Parts: sequence; structure tokens; C-alpha cells
Amino acid sequence: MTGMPEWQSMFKRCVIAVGGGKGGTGKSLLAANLGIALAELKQHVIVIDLDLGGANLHTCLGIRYPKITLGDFLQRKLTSIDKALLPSPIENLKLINGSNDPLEITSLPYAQKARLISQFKRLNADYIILDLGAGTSLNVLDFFLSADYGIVVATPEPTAIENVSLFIKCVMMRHLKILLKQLPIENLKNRIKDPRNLETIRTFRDLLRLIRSFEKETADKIESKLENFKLGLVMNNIREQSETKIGDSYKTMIHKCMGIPLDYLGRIYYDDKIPMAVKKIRPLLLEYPNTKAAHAIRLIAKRILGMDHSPFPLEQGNSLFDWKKKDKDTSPAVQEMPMGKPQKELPLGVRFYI
Amino acid sequence: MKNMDECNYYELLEVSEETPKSIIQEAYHSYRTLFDKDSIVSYNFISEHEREELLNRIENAYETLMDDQKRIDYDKKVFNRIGRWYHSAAEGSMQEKYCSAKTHGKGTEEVRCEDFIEENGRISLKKLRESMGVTLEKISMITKIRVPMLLALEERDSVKLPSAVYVKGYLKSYARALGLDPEKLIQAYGPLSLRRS
Repeated sequence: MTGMPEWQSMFKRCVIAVGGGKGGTGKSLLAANLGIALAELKQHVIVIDLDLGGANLHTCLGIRYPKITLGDFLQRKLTSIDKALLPSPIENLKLINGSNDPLEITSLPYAQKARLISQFKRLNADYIILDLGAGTSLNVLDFFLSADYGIVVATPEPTAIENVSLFIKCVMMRHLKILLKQLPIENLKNRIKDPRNLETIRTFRDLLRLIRSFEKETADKIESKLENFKLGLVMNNIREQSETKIGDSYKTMIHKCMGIPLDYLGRIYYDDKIPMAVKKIRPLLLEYPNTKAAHAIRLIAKRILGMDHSPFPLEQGNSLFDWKKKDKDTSPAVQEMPMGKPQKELPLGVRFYI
Repeated sequence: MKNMDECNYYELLEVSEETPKSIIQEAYHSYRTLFDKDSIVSYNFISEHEREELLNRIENAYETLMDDQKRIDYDKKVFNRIGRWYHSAAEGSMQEKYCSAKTHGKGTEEVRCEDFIEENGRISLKKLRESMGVTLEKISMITKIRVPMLLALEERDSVKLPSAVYVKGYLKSYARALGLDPEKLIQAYGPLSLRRS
């Protein structure tokens, strides 16, 4: 195996969230098949269905009747999240199935959410892939921001693009709010409410400009942290040649309008085989491994693997939610953590905020 | 990262002060389509008001950077000097230089297509070009036609040459690059291509 030494599994615990506004754009499909593609590359992968109240990742992976679900963990029937791990038909790939009792889980209380995030971040795997639900609810945004890398999935339709734009805006706004808790600015609320400013502050860049006008250093810090936010775009369901440019244009626009670097991870062409695989309840990569779409997903997986050479994900110093680390470092949950070599480089503990 | 309304025209179109007009044109077109009201990419990303403002700025940037005098004035305002494009354009405008080859290149004698017509009644482009001291690479730079294609044109290589209508276009560019009358050159070239279009 030629690729082996370079891509050896070392439990790097990189959390990847797959999200993006609109439903039906292929988030679960991508999460499942990306997991398979990474597992094929000898990585230990865990996919977690966080589509609360709409869990169907197991179906995308070809598992019909999952016995244990995330609900069991959240209701404290299971002591730790690794007991909820289910084997899958693919070697190296495990699944944590979403809950199927919707009422209890869709509105997840904060404590539950924090427990869930802190636990899945400690799972022994190279890649932990979160499959998020549609919409921009706080749960979705917080799960997305808890990841080391966020992937948004869009299709070349105005509705999907509109929702992805909104999703990215909401994520950035939430990110900014969290950063403002870490770097508090006096009187910010009053300044925003100042009738002189009210008219001009519409976007989050306007807000940044306002902060910059009186707290230049803090604004610099916030901006550099925002720019560190790792975000990737996957265009799905491309049918025409003319639609191939949309991804690149979108990347340019996000960079220009919001100042965020967006990686264009790849595009997946529409293929008749995709709905056929779904109907057969089989993962695309196993049922039709040689389709164009399957190759596109493998390419995305390789791009994600290739990113290891850059500071991401091992150097997470700038990552989100770090500010709580100090308080939480003394908690018993963190002290329990084994201090093996790979973990040393990674920040431990709960990185979540109230 | 600057806000869009704080960018200067160069930053707005993401070009540098050396960028030639052809690239500025491309950049303008891509941003124009990106922020067009029918563009699905920027759909509902920016408000209508912002879109109008942005398009206005892009339009102004394009008008300013495409007009030599306006660009000079703008550069003086922004950088306090004339941008480097001006000098590189002056050196690089080989087209102008060779256009004038007809009048004062090669001393006083005028280059005439008729002088290079060979026994078979066709013009030898190679001899014509060499008499003016111009290399194929230079013509390629001016016309943006690849060197192998120019070579095929000179050698009348019917296998490599495309159909007649393209050959005609190539010949026009070739003639203009040398500052010759395109019609005369096409006439002297003889049959354009053996390939049927």
C-alpha cells in the first residue's frame, strides 16, 4: 500500500461538521459517503447523526434497524458516548445513530448539548463526522461551530444558495458573539443601540467596523480569529456545465463580502445511480463505487486528508470555545483523559460556552 | 480584509496596478456577473441597495481603469504617482511599435507584400517577417496566436491549419502585428486552407 505511511491512523480526532441551511441538498449522503471514503483510506472514522428529530444517516449507510441510538445516551441509559457506537458494513467506520424519539431530543437543553459535544470530541478516531440537520437553529449552529472544520453543502438553485448564505451568516454571527464573550467590549450594546449607529449597522462587517472604531486591538484579534475559521463548500447535484462555475464564484463572493476564506472542496455531478442507491438502502460508494459521483466524493476525502499538512487540525490554538478551557481543565472529566502522544497537541476539555 | 466600500478600484476588481486592460476587462465581467441581479450566486446575499451601490462602484472602477487619462489621474490620487502599468504599457505596446514598422522601421524603405511573392505566385510570410526583423515569438505575443500555429501558417501546413475562416482571421492579426494591410496580405497568401469547413 503506497499511501499507507503518510496517512497512518493516529487518532487525530478531527471533527468535521456537514451542514448548510436547506434540507435535501445531500448532507447525510455526503457525510455517510465521505465517512466511507475516509475509511477506505485507512482512517478510523466515526459518523454521528446529529440531525435531531430527522435522523436517517443509518439508512444512508445501509443499516436498517439500529438498536442503540443517541437518545439512549442523552437519557443517560448509557454512561458514555462510546457505548453508543455501532459497527457498520465498512471496516474502520462506526456510526452513532441519531435518536428516533423526536419530541425529547429536538429541543436539546444546554447541559445535554455541552455533554454531547465534550464526549464526542474525545472519541478515539481520526475523523469524527457530524451530520447536521437543516435550518439555522442554535443547536445546529453550535454543533457546527464545535467542529474543527465545517463543510456546507449546496446545490445550484437559488433556494439552496439563499439558505447556505443565511447559514454562513448565522454561523459567523454566532461565532462573533462567542468571540465577544471571550473579549468583552464595554458598552458595546449601548453603542449598537445608539440611534446614530442603528441605521448603518446591518451586517456583521458593519458591526466589526463599529468595534474597530473604538477598540482597534480587540477588533484585530476578533478579525484574525474569524479568518481562522475553516469552512469548505461542496456543490452537489450539478447537472449542467454552466453550473460548474457557481462554486468558484460563491467562494469569491464569500471572501469579498464577508472576508472569510472558503475552500471549494469539490462538486458532485448528478447521477441516476444516487437515488437508485438510496432506494436500495445501500451506500453509494459500496453499491456504485465507479460512478462519477463516487469519485468526486473520494476526491473530497483526499482533499480533507491533504489538509493535515497545514496547521489544521493539529494546531488548534486559535480554535473556538477555548476561553472556557481554563475553568474546565480542573473538571474530573478532563483529568480522566489519557495523555497519550497525539492528544498532547490537542486542547482538551469542554470547549463550549454558555 | 477591507470592506468593499473602503477598497480602491484595484482592490475592488482584485487586479494590481500593473494589470493590462485585457485582464481588467475579464475581472470586470466576472464581478459584473457575480453581483448582477440575476446571478444566483449572490442571490439574497446582499440587499438590493448594497447591490446597486456595489455595481455602481464596479462600473466606475472599470470606466476609470480602462481610460488611460482617467487611470493616470486616479493613480496620482491613490498612490501619488503613475502606476507601473503606464511604463510597462509603453514598453510593451509592440503592436504600436510594429505598426509603425511600415513607415519608419527598416530605414526609409517601405515593406510591400508584393516584394515577397514567390515563383508559385504566393507570398512567403517567413521572408517578409524576417526582412522586418521580427521573430515568431514577438508576433505570438502581440497576436496571442501560438507559435506552432504561426509556423503552420507560414509553412501553409494544411494538416495543422484550421478551416479557412480561422486562417483568414490569423492572417489579419499577423498583418496587423506587422503593420501591413490585412486585405493585401490575405490576397497575396493565396488559397487559405485545403481543409473543407
